[in-house]
Amino acid sequence: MKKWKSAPKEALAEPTMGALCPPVPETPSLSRTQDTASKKFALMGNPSAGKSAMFSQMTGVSVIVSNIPQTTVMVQKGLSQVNGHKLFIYDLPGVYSITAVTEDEAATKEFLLGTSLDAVIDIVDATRLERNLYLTLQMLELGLPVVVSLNQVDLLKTLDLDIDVADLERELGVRVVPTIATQGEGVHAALETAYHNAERPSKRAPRQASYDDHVERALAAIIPLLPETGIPKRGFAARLLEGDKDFESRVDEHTLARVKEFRDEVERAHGEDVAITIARGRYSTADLIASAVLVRKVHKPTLAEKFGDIATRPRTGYPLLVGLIGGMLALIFFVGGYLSDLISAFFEGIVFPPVFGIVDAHVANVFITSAVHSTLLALAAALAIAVPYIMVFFIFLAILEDVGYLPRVAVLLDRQAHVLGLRGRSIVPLLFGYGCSVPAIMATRALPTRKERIITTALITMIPCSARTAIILGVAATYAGIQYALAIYLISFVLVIASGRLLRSTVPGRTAGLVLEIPLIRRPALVPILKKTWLRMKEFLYIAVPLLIIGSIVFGWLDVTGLSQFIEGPMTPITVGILGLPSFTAICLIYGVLRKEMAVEMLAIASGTFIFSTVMTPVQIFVFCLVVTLYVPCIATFGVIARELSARWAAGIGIFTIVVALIAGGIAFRVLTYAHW
Amino acid sequence: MSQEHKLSSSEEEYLEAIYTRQEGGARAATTGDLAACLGVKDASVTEMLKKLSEKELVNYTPYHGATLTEAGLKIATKVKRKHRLLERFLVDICGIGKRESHEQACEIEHVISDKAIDNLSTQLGNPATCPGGSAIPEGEKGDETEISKLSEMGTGTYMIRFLTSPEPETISRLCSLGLIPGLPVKVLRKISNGPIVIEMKDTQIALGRDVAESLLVSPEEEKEKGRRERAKMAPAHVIPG
Repeated sequence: MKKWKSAPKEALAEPTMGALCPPVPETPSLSRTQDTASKKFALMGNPSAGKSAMFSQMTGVSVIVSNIPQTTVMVQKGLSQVNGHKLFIYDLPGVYSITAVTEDEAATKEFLLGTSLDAVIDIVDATRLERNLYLTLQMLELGLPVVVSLNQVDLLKTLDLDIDVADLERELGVRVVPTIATQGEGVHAALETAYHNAERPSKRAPRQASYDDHVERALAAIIPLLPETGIPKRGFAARLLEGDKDFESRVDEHTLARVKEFRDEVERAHGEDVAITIARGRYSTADLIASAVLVRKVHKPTLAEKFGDIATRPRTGYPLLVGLIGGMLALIFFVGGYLSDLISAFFEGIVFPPVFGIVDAHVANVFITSAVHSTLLALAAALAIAVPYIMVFFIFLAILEDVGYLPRVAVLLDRQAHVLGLRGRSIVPLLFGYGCSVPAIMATRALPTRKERIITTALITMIPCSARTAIILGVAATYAGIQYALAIYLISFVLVIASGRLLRSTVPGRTAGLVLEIPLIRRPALVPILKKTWLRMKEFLYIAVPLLIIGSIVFGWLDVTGLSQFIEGPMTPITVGILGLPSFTAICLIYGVLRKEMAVEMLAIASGTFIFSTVMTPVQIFVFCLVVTLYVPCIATFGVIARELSARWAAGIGIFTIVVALIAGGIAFRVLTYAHW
Repeated sequence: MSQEHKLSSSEEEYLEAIYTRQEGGARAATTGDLAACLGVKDASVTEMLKKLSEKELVNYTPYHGATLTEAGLKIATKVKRKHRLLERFLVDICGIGKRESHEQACEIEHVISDKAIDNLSTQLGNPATCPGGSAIPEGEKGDETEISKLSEMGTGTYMIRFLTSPEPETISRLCSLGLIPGLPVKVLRKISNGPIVIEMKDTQIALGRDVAESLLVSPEEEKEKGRRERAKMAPAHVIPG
């Protein structure tokens, strides 16, 4: 029997959209004509319509990522040009509609209405025409300067579909450009069309969604009550009728009261929430347009569709998933390992000897030599350990993403995710956690409720990221034994599940039901994958490398001045007492907070060797790696958590993981020692 | 759509009381009986029975008692159904005690609509008895088609009837993906205890089990099906060239 939630309803838009709308936006015509400054275009579209591919084709490498004010929603801004004119292109989040229910949608709508844009390029997935037009019609209703990029037209053929572009233009009343973003086809034409449209706006009135009689009557009655805002009154009225809080704040009490009367009338007539009636109107219009321009032929399932089925059906899907994860780990270990060795060899053979040689010989100041040593060691560590492993992982993930496989994983693991208090859609950010916690936590933004974001973020910090994997495999497996490495993975897995269950019952709030589109399987393209990977690596490096260098220098000085022993001493009750580790590991654990691999580098420096089996027993190596894997997330992760959730949660999660690590390490030490393994 | 009867609450109470008597095996409900159980004077009972008799809802013989006519039976059954379903709801879901839920159900049953009570029954899994153990009468068939939860249906095509999720985000997401009442949806695959994969206008969508339970559907009507199949095959127009 379905349980009815008795908890009070949370506010519709969460987290808070906070402040009321920015001042009245300029009317579209004003922003277009006399301005000689660079034009601004925005990219809109459904998730998996091909927006990111389009964005990466249109812009170069210099892309700035920033927040929409008062939200945690990110917008990418890049530079482009068409016929010599410079352009700014904003890549907005992929959304199915711009009502104000999720943060992504609300923030996107705010951005669209608050920024004076010269064009909005709507990326419409040609293989999902009706559904994509739902968003298009919403934007047309709000008077946005839309140009449609009809994307993925190459897939139409494989699905035995065809679309008449001229007819679509006629139906919509806006320019439509067929494109294949992954191959760069039509991208320039789209930019040109948008530019031309901005310079000389078309006289044609764009298509408006038409609703049923009750709604139309209500709209006609509301329109005369509205102030002039530069937003078309019909769209404004529809929004008010839907109960859009944003728009409600732009009118006075009296008008609001009248709108409410009309809303009640419509709801009485239909017996359903007015938002549904209005959604139906939009959908019917989209359907009408699509039927007028779409031609279908008899269709046999393609190979890609068959693969898609195999991936989703449990009997074949689970083995496939296990195989892919195994393949991914193997790839990370071997390819990542190989690259790592190459880079290390390069540094040790070619960079270190001459530089150290010169510095040691000619510089007297011991602090400077120490600093130089530390900096180069840190740089080498970052490039040799973090980059190969993380980069390989990101490429693998980007391929799976673009192929369309990831939502299928979410479906397969939805039931299991319930155990953690989550849904299948949290699986993707958790998977990212195997690469690096920072982008993984950023990916939690797409989750609809705060509770899910909190739980997923906390669990991500406990998943062995690439750095930790490098430690586990590079240190535990190599110097203690493969069984220890596997044990660490197993323990962290069990702890993730246990923590999930704990958080599920203690974190307040609710989890939204799973409603997930499963995209078509398609061939991934190289350029968007590389671009995507580069952007993710960039954010990671910009944060990590400076910290790593500073940390190494500071430690080097601590060592040179002999101050490090002052840290060892007080920490002995923990390192030796609880964990049974040699006391010099104290400083390593401290530095592991900066970056996990630093714990290993410091271990090498503190013990004087890289061959750890000579200075620590296998059990000690195991306990050390286990503790490093479990305790606090690295500092970059702290920063991301503080930004995405709050500083309090960041601190809370940190403390939680330290406690878990100490308990696990302490138990492991005692159990293994007494079992004489 | 079934019509709402225009009786007052007390009129419905009377019909309900007579029904209860007859259910209990009595031949007819005497004035004394009704006065006692409804807590009113004999004279009021007589007056009301006369009124109901005029409306042809009861057969009233003075000094003998009243029985329900077919029309009266229909209304009484409906009210009884509402009463018992509400008791189920209040006891099982709202956690109210039996006595209190009986009292509250007595009030609510007169104002809740037929449609609401049918949906409530579906949500509760169409229970057969009330907390007291009495049978819950079935709803009117009329021209209402069978409505069930999407999660209970096998593979096939259905018509969406209601979206009953308590979460606004879910309803908004369902709407923006095209899952709107009045439109057809096809169930492709069900993962045991897991999500249900459906197809909506050529798009595959995975719905969590709890979301699928909040989507009420009915089997697609034959004529709708035919129309859909025909629309799919015929090109809307010919492409030049």
